[in-house]
Amino acid sequence: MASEERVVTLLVQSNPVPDVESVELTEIRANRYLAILDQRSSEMTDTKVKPQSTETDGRRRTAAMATAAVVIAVVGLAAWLASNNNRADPVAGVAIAEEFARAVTSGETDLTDYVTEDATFGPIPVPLDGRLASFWAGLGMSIVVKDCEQTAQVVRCDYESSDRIRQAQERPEYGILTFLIEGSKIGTISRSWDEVASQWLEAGDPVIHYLEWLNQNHPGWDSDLDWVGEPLPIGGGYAPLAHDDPVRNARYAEALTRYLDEYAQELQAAGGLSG
Amino acid sequence: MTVDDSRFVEVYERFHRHVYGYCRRRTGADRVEDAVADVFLTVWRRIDQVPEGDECLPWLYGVAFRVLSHQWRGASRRQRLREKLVAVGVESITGPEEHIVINEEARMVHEALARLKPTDQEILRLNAWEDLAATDISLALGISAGAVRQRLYEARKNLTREFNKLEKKAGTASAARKGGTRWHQKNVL
Repeated sequence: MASEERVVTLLVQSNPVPDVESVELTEIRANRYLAILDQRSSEMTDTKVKPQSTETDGRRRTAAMATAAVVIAVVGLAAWLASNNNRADPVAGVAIAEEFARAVTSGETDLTDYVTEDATFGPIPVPLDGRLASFWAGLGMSIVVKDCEQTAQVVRCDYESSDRIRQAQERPEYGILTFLIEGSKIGTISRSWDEVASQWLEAGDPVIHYLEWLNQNHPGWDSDLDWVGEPLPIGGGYAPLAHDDPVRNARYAEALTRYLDEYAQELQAAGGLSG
Repeated sequence: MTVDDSRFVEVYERFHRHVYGYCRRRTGADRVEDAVADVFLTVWRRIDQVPEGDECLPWLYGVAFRVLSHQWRGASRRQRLREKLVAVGVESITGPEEHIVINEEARMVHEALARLKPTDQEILRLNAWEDLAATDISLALGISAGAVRQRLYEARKNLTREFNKLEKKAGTASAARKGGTRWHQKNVL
């Protein structure tokens, strides 16, 4: 039998990266960060983004954060697609995302347009992996994704819309799926959540169970989410689901999927789905 | 460059390598850069909350832990994608295990580690790999230093117990294999 000391020593020795000095950093990425900062500094002097009030300052900061998020996301997206040799026709998606990022970083597109009321943009296909959350979180938006596998297309997002969930659409040409987008400003997530939750509470027991669990185990969950740039606690792998309880996770995911299906059908029936 | 920008650059230049190393120890090579990007995006967003001095690195580890936790929660989705990629002939993505497959004991200690509670795993890793003391671990994970000490004590015992279980199992399996071989050889002879 191994002693505790022996096992701890083995753990220390099993360090996959024992020496951080040996880490080969991607200097391009480091430079890119700094370039983003420089870009942001330039934008601050641009007449397009003039500080007029505290609120405007907030928007400027959100826009600058979004700039960084977009660029980082596009870089991550391209790397992800390249490393995975994605077969899901990513080319168009990357091109659009890159063009969007270029327009943002060059100043042609002012992100403050997108983080104020009722702005519309898209389509912007993005990979539904870890990238997605920070991509949209950077834009100050929340997203609800229903059972997407690789690529989703953001069709439209009405920011600050009163009914929150406004759009859902199937885009079979991207091999997807229905998804819903909820617009919300960073910092007002809980208000938004209350509205969404009140609708979900009508959807069935599993959802209620989930909410109960969430409230009991993560009373400050909304700030936790904001902390890591994940604004909405639902959807695929991005949710702080009851991760200690996979059975409950599965039940919740199933319930959510069913609910979103029904909700999409309702929207469609009401003529709420666009082209 | 504004004060915030200067601060971000300072944090980035000083700790990027540490954060990269932290993430590399815990996730696959293909996901490290995304995780690091997310960590520094959080730094960027919360630059006014980033602690000064010695508390900065544990704080960054805490952010990285949360970022990676989200990655891990998405693991099932990625697993499905990986299976699809394998099905269409794309090689599977490699993970940090690539570094340790050469050492059976290291593999077992990682397997034993994986059997512990996630937070206990992280406490052990922060202590063993990042060389953090209880006070710094408490900063990273947001729990009291006293609780860290207690959990570290328990986690080491649990790790040892799980390791010994695995070792015993491996020994039994190995003996069975050897026995089987001898039996086979005897019958061949």
